[in-house]
Amino acid sequence: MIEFDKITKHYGAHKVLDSVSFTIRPQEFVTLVGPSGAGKSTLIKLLLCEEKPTFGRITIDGKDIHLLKEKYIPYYRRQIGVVFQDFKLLPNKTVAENIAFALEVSGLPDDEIDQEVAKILELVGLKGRGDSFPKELSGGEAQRVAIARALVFKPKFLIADEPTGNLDPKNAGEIAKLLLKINSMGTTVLLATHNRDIVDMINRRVISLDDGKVMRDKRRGKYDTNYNYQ
Amino acid sequence: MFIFWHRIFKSAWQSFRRNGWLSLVAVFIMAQALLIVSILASLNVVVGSTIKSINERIDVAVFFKETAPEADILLLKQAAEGWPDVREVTYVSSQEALNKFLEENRNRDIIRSIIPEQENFLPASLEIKVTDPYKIESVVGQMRNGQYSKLISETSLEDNQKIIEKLRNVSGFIQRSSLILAVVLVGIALMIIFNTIRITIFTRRQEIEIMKLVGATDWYIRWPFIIEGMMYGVIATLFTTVLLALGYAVIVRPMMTSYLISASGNPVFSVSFLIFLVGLQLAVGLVVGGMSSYWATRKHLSI
Repeated sequence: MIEFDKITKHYGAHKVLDSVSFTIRPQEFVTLVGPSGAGKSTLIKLLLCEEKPTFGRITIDGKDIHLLKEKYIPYYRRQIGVVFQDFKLLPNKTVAENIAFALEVSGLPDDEIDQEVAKILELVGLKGRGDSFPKELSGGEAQRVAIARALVFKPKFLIADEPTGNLDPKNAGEIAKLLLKINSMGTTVLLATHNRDIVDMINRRVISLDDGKVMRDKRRGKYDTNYNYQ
Repeated sequence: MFIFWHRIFKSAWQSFRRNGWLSLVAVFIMAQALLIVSILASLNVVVGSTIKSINERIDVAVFFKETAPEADILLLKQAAEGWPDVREVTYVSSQEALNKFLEENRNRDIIRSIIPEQENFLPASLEIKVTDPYKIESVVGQMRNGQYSKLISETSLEDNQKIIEKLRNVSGFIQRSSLILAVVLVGIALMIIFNTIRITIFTRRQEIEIMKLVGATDWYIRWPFIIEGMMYGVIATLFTTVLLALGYAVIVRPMMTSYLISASGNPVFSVSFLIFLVGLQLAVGLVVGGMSSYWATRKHLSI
């Protein structure tokens, strides 16, 4: 259970998030929509402990994540899978090495890592591409690698920040399907996007953010056409 | 623990190899900086030996009256050898002085014709070398005020004061300017190494950010960079060692054989000095390479 409790974030005089409160239940699929500058990315940064809120708190299973000591933050981050719009793959590592890196940091033995990497590559449909470098991949493939890396820890919670932003509609649709599949396997998913087709296709809980505030929260929603999300 | 270090070294080597050009440029720049350090160290040795040979030439002769008994002069010699500022005392008897004079002027017939054949007109003397050229006055003063002062007729200090002053100034100037040059150039070399590594890490700052977001600890991210920095140092040292060996064979050895650089016949650049030079470069490369990487990653790790 993830709870956002009156989260407020200021950057100087500029208020990016204004008392945002909502709860994400286990195994839920939540789509966070809103125009650029609505505060989606800031919310995700707060969730990853990249930033601290000005007011309010975020709790996971009752624990305030911003009270974590700095040295425990890496261990906290290993429990959350994250996927970004720009993929954030290590350019000098192969696909398999990028995924393995996430497991290497936790000290897992090499043979176990090899097994896990092979399994996850198959799950995201990239079997046989393990030795390719990121620059040799298409956008869709790169995003699959990023998803594979996020999932390899078997996290309970996956955050995807505009994962389809750099993809064509076909690849975007496939990534959405992959996220739904991951959710059906028991992982809680928080997807931030302003891609209308993706929101409609997923057809799950939609939280609309605008100007740093929660405008709507629908349990099973479509894209709200009252807003110009671009 | 083994698995940790195995992965750190593997990752460092992999990134060194895969960053090809970037690594090569860093090694090349580091080699130039290390070359500056080595040339400076070599120059320091040349300067040191030059100063030594200048100082060796600064000595003073104390001349004795004809009546001074040799036994007393030898006692004074023995006493002077025990003084802390005195390096060497040589006794030149009246006869030896004459022999030396005749030898030095063997082709000058005019001089030889006017000096008496049988009578020795030259006084006995003590030639004194001091540990520090600035101590000459005090050593001479000590002799003049001691119990044998009555035996002394004169010293060369009065005649040579200006030359000694000049030599002391030259050696002081060389020492001071070589020290300033060393400080400035070593400073430049260190800045070059630090900035090169900072730039290579700056171009890879996004990697650091990604690694952090994937949950790597700061040290797991930092160590490969530190080891990579040290690798630049080791490879740059190999490179400069080859260059120095070539330089030694092509430039220094011919100069040495023609006595352009040597102090009292001893070779300035011994094998042990060259080993020291390689060790110095390796130490500078490893320490500065590693430390620079540590500092340069620090900035990007704060997310």
